Amino acid sequence: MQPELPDRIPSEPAALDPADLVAGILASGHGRIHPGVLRAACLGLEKYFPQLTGMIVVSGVLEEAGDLALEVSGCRVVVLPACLDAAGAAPFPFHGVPWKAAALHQLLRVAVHAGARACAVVEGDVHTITPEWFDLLLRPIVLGGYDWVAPRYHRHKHDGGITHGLAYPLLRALFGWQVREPLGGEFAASARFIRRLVAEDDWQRPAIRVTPGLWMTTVAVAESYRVCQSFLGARLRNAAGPVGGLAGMLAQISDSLFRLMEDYESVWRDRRGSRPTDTFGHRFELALEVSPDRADAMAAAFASACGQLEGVWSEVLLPETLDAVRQTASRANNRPFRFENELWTRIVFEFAVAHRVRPHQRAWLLPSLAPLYLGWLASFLQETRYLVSSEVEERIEDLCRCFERDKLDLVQLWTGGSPSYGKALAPSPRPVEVET
Amino acid sequence: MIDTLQVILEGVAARLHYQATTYLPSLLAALIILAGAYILAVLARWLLTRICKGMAADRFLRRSGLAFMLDRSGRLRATRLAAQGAYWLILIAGFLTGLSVFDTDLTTQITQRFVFLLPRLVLGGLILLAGVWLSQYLSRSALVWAVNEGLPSPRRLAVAVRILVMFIAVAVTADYLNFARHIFLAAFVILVGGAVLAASLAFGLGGRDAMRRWLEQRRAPTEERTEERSVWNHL
Repeated sequence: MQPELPDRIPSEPAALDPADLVAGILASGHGRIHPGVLRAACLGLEKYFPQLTGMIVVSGVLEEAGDLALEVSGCRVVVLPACLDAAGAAPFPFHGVPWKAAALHQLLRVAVHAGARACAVVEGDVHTITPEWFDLLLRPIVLGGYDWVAPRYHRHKHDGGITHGLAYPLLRALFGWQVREPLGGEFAASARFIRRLVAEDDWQRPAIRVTPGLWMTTVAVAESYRVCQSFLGARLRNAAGPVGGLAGMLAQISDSLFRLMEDYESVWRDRRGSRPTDTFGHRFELALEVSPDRADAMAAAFASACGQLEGVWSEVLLPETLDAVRQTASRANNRPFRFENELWTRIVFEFAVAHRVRPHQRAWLLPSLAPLYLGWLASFLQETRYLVSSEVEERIEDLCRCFERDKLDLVQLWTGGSPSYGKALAPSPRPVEVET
Repeated sequence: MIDTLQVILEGVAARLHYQATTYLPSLLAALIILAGAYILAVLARWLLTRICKGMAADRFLRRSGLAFMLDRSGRLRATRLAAQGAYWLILIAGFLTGLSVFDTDLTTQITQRFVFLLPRLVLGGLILLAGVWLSQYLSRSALVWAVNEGLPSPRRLAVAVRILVMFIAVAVTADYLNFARHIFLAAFVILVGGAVLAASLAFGLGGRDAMRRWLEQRRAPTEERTEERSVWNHL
């Protein structure tokens, strides 16, 4: 059978043939997609939604569009080239795909013009994507009436430090929805929500350009769209290290988070507590490869940085918080090393406020969060070394509750008042764990 | 003898009388002007503090970091700054007006020079202020970057950046004010050129092997570092 040639985007998008469902694939930093992803999209639409018309939209590709048609047959494929003119603005995003937001914008616009009821988007370099991912992403919208389906991945218990130490607890405390993977690369959106996203004025704003997934999740939870999550499976990709290293990545993600805090200030200031999000799919424990234990090196990096960066932190942190950081760093060689959740919560809140109050100093202010993050992560890794995933989730839940409990102090800080942190920062005595 | 003494004393008395009648009114007038200027300055400062809220300027000071640079507590307000500026400006103007009452060559020259120099001094001060701000900004960035990259002696690097930027600011200011411009320029060229030469020689002669070892050490655990810092692990 002769493969169908992929469509180029028509000059008049309204001329697109209608489709009920759109499976979007975003190209990686090299402008390529893994062939298996295209096949999975095609199979997913054919197998799970045979009664609906589907269309695959590949966005942000740099290679010849004709090659893509050879990967699938019987599926309608629209190829959108990368918008290279969107790549010029600084700073270079940590994920290394400067045109990612523009490619996503194009893709969503095509979904709107095709009149799609739902659109699922995946990243093209994730080689563990299966046809079931499209079912898990699209079904809650098609049958459940949800507007936004966030992903949940099966991860190694120590993966995703920035997600479960910063993005998840902060967004959950702010907006009151327990969306576990706010930085996830895969998602699905309803027609109503896609129209809201496409209507956004400036897709080149830093928060959208650098972390489009985080922005969309925030819009969904802040503007009260119907949100759910789907367990997708393990997400493995051929990713290079982040541009600018860990400090650059953390700075860009925290910058996006804090900017979104400013955007939705009027929303989160009045929300309290949090509620669970409906979750679909099967959760199971995975025996993923154990990552090398770097807790000791992280704790040492934190302690060493404390001596160097005290002056910088003194301009961001309150004196009592800085004192607690100093005390914690002085115990970096202790086993087990403890970086209290209360302290990490205060640090994040105080950095958020400093980010708002002193925007011209963000260039050095945000990267200085990296050693503090390493300190907290070292403590977390040591604490959870011998725990199973469900117990690790309990520890993350503790951290989230801490963020929620201290949210009133964040509001105080944000409005220029003095916080009255509920719990003293002195570390509570814990029994010493014995390694066996 | 007594006659001579009498003549001298009379002469002294006449001179004192002349000077008192000539300069004392001027001095009194100058003191009155200075007192008036002082009262005016205090009044202007009080009025500015009470009337002006300076919200936009306060925001600029805070957001740019100038408030924290000039006052470590960060509580510096634009209103206070404007009030202090007006206070000192009126006081200096009063002093110069008082000085001009004497109407001598010396006081006229002093007044003229000061009036001509004032705008240049203000602009020179602004250049220096910008230099201080830039040096602080760049040294902080260098410090945080060096710590995150695990470079040796990050503080020294930050201090070096700060000194370099400040030195450039001082050289530019001196050049603008025409104050020992050749000395500052020569010192700048000698120091920077010397530092670059010394660093090149040190690297070429003594540090080549050390640098090779350092690079090899950095290259060896690249895979581990990449894994540690991969998007998958932290995101």
